[in-house]
Amino acid sequence: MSKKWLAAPLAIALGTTGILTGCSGSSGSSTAATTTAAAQSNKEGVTTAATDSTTSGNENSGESIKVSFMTWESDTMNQAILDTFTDAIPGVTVELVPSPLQDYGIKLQEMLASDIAPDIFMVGNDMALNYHAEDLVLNLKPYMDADTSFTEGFYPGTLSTFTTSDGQMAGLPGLINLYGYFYNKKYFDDAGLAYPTEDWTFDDLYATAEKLKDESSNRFGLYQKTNDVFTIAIYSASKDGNGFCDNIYPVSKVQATESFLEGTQKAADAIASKAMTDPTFDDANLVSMFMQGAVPIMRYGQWAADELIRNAPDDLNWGYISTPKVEKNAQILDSVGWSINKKAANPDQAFAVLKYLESETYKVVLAKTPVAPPAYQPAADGYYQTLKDKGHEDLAQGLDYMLNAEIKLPVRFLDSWSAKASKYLDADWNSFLTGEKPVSDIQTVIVDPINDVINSSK
Amino acid sequence: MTNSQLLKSGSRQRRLKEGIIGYLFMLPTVIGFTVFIIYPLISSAYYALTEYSGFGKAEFVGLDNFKWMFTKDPTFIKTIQATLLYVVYTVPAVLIFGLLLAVLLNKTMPGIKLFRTIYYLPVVVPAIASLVLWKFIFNPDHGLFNGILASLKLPTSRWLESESAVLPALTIIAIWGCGGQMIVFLSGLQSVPAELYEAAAIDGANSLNKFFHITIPMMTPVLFLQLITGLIGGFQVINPALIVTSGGPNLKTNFLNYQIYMSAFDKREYGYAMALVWVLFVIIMAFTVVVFKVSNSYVYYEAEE
Amino acid sequence: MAGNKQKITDRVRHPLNRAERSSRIVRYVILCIFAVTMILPLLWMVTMSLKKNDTIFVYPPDILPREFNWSNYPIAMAQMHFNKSFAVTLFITVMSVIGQLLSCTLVGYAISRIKFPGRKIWFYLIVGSMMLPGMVGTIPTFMLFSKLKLINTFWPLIIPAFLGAPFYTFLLRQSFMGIPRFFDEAARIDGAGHLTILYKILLPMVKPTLMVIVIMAMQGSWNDYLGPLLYLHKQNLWPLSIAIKQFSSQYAVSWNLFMAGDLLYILPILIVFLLLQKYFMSGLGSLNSAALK
Repeated sequence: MSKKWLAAPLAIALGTTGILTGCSGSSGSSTAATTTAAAQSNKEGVTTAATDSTTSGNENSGESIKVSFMTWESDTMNQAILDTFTDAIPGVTVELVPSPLQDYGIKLQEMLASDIAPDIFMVGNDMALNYHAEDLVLNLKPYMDADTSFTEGFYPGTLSTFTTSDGQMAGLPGLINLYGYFYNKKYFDDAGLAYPTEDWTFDDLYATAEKLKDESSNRFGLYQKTNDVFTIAIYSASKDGNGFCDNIYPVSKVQATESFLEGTQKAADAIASKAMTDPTFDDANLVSMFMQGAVPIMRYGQWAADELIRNAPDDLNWGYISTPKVEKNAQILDSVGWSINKKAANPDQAFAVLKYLESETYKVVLAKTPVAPPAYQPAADGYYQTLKDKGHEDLAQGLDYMLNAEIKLPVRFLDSWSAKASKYLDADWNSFLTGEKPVSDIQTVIVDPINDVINSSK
Repeated sequence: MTNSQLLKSGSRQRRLKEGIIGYLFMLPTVIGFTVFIIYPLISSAYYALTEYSGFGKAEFVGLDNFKWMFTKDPTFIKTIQATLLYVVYTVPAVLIFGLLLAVLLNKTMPGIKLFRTIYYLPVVVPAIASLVLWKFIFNPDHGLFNGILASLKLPTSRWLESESAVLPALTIIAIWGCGGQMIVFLSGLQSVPAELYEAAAIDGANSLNKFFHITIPMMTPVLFLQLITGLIGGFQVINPALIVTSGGPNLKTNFLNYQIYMSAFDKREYGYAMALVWVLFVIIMAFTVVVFKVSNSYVYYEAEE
Repeated sequence: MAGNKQKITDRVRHPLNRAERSSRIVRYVILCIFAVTMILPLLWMVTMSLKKNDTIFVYPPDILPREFNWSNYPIAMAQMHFNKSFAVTLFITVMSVIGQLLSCTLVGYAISRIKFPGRKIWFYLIVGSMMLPGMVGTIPTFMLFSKLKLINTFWPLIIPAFLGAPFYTFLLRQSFMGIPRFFDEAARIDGAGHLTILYKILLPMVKPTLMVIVIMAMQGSWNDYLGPLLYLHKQNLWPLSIAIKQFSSQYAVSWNLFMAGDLLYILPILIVFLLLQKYFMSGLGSLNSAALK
C-alpha cells in the first residue's frame, strides 16, 4: 500500500523527465548562435564571416549562416516580414523570434543578461542607448560610414536619435512614430468650423476643442493621453526654440521658460474647461471610440490610420493634421528601431540582414500594413502611396511635414539618470495640469530637483 | 554496562538516527530554502547597498539608496500610502464579504450548492484573464459598469482614471474574488457546535446576538488566519497595478511591490529595487507581529491537548 | 386547490414556518443578487468573445450575446497555437503539483513527527519565509538558472515545486499536528517506518489538505505569467498565459479574439473545478482547521 502511494507519482515524474531533457536538449542548438562570445572583433566592421567561432555544430558548415531577430510585432506582421527574406540574402537564413509586446523590455533584458538574446532585436532608442552604455550592442557607426549611400537615405535627424554623445551608433531607427491630430469632419461641419490646416496654432486647437465639447454627454472636444512635459515643450520650442530639455541626448539641464509655463497654463485651462481630457485619461481604446464617431479630435500616433483605413465604418469621414505650432515647426520624433547584439556570431551578416530589413522589407510590408513611415526614406514610397490610394493624402502630407520639422524634440529622457528624474514627473507633473498647483511652482517642484539629479550624476 | 547506560547509549543512537532521517525528509526545504530564500536574501541585501542596473558591475554606494528613498524620492511616500490604503480597503472588505456570503450559505436549502459554486467561480479564473476583463468593465466610455449605472440613472465615474474612484474600483475587483475566504468561513461556521446555539436560544438570544456572541468568537482563529494571509498578500499586491492601472492615476495605485517590479525590470534600477524590497519586508513583518500580539488577547482557542 | 389547503394547514400547524419561509425568501433574493454580480463579468466576457471587433465598443454595452461569431474561437485557437500551448501548460502544471505533493508531505511530516535538532527553528523559518516578498527571489533565481543554462527549458518552472512551498508545508504540518500521535505509535509497534506511517497512516487522514495543495499548486502554475515570460523565450514553449498576449500588438488589440482566447485559457481549469468541486470545497474548508492550532 505504502509503495503504491509512492509509485504512481514517481512513475509519472520519471516518465515526464524524458520530455524535459528532450526540451533542454533542443534548446541548445538554436540559441547557440547567439550565446557564443567569440565574435568581439567588430571594431572596424570588417570582420570576416566568423562562422568557425560558433560553438554549436549546427551552422559551421559554411553553407548557410543563421541570423535571428526578435520583434514585438503581431503574428501576421511577423509573417509578412519573414516572407520578404525568402532567398533575399545569399548564404544567410533568417530566423524570426516573436515576442509579446507587453513586457518585451523585461524579456530582452533578461535574455541579454543570460547571453541568449538574438542577433538583432527591436528596440526603442532609449533602450538602445541604455544597452550601449552597458556595452551590450554593436556600434554600427563603422558599417554606416562604409555605406554612405545607405546612410544618406535616412530622414534628417532620425539617425541621431540612436547616436551617443561620442558619435557611436547604438542601433538604427526603423519606424518613426509621429503624433498628429485625427479629427472627425462631421463635428466640424455640424459646428460650421473650417478644417484645420498645417499652419494652425495651439490657440486654434484649444479654441476648436472648446467649441466641439459637449458637457451634457460627457464628451470632450480633444482626446489626448499624453500631456507630459515633453509634449508641452512643443509649445515653447515652437515659440522660441526652447524645449524642456536643452538637447535630445545627452541632456545637461532642463528648463521651464516663460513660454513653457504659458504652454502649460493653456493646456491646464483646456483641461479645466473640459475641452480636453484629464491628464489621467487612458487612451487604450481611443481609436475604437473614434471609429464609433464619439471623438471630435484625438491626438494619436499615426499607426491609428492603418486601423481606421481597414476597419472604420464607411460613414466615418476623418481627416488628419500635423501638430499645431506657435511660430516654428517643432515636432517630437519617437523612433523604434533595431540593435545588433554585441555578441552576435556573424555581425556582418547581421548588418546585411538589418540593411535589407530597412530598405527592402519595409518597402513591401508598410505598403501592405501602413503603420508608420520608415526612417529610411527610399523605403517610404510604398507607405505614402498606400495612404494616398486609400484617399488620405492629408495624412501623407502631415507626416512628411512633421518629419521635416525645423526643431526636433525628445519624447522622453534617455540619459542614465532618467529613472530618478522621471520620478519627479510621475509624482507631481499632473497636478500642474489639473490646476492643483500653480504653474509658477514648476521651477521648484520639477525643474530644480531634476537638475540636481543631473548634476549629481555627472 | 549497567542497564541505564545501555538505555542511554541506545537513545543517543536513536536520536542520531532520528536526526539523520529528519534531515533527509527535510532535504527539499533545506535545499529550497538555501537556493530560493537565503541566497536571494543575501544577494538582495548586498545589491540594496549598490547602484546596479542588472548588468555588468554593481557599484557599492553604502546606504545611499535608502538615503535617497527617505529624503528625496518624491514617489516614495505616495507609494507607501497607496499600498497601505489598498490593504485598508481590500483586506477587511474581502473578509467581511467572505463572512457575509458564508453566513448566507450556512443553511440547508435546496440549490445552496449551486450558489456556493457560483460564488467560488471567480477564484478559479486566472488573475491575468480576469483583470484584463475588469479593466474593460471599468472603461469609462464603453465599459459594462458605467453602462449599467447609466441605465439605472445612477451617477457614473471615470473609475480607473479617477484618483478617488480607483481604489474603490480595485476593492470591487477584490470582493469579486472573495470566494476562497467564503469557503473557509463556511467550514468554520459548520464546525461551531450546535449546542451553543441551542443553549443561547433557550436564554432568549436573537440571531444577531447569537452571531456576535457565539459565531464571531468561535470564528476568531480562522478570522485571524485569514487576516494574516490577507495582510501578507495585500502588502505584496502587484497584479492590479501591473495589468489594470499601471500604477495610476497619479500614483494612486503605485503599490510598493509594483514599484519594485518596475524599478528592477523596467527602469533598470536593480539596486534601488532591492532596497525597496527590504522596506516592504520590514513593513510586512512589523504588521504581522503587531497583529499577532494584538490578537493574542482576542483569538479564542480550544484548550490544547 | 389541494396545494392551498396544504398551505393553510401548514400555517396552522407550524406558526413559525411563516417567518422562516419569508426569511428564506429574503435569503434567496440576496443570494441571487450576489450570484448575478459574480457571474455577470464572465457572462459579458462570453458576449464580447462572440462579437465582431468593430461592435465591441458599442455603447451602451450588450450584456447578453446578440451576435454569434463562433468563428472567433477557431481563429483564436489557431493564433495562440492552442494545442501546443495547452500541452505545455498542462505539463508544467502536472509536474508542479506532483512536486509540491512529494516535497511538502515529506517536510510537513518531518516537522510534525520526527524529533531532529533544529526542528522548531525550521518551522519558524518556513513561516517567516512566507512574509518575504516574492520579488526578492525573482532576479537572483533567474541569474542562477541562466548560469545553469536552463533557459528555454521547463526546469526553472518545475524544480522549485519539488523543493516545497512554505505555505503548503505549513498547511500539512498543521494537519499532521491535528492527528493524535496514538495512530503512529500503534503503527510503530507493528514495525512500521516513517515512510509507511506517512504514506499509509497519515496521508489518507489529511486528504482535504492534500486537495488544497493540489488546487492551489494547480492554479499557481496555470496562472503563472512572469515565470514563463522570463524562462521560456521560444514560441513553441509558450504556455497559455503567454500565448493569450498575442492578441494585443503595438498597433491594435483584437478584443473579441482576446476574450475568446481568455475563455479558452480559463475553460480547462473551470472544467476541473466543476468536476472536482466537492473536493475543492472540503479541501478549502480544511484551511479552517489549520487555523485552530
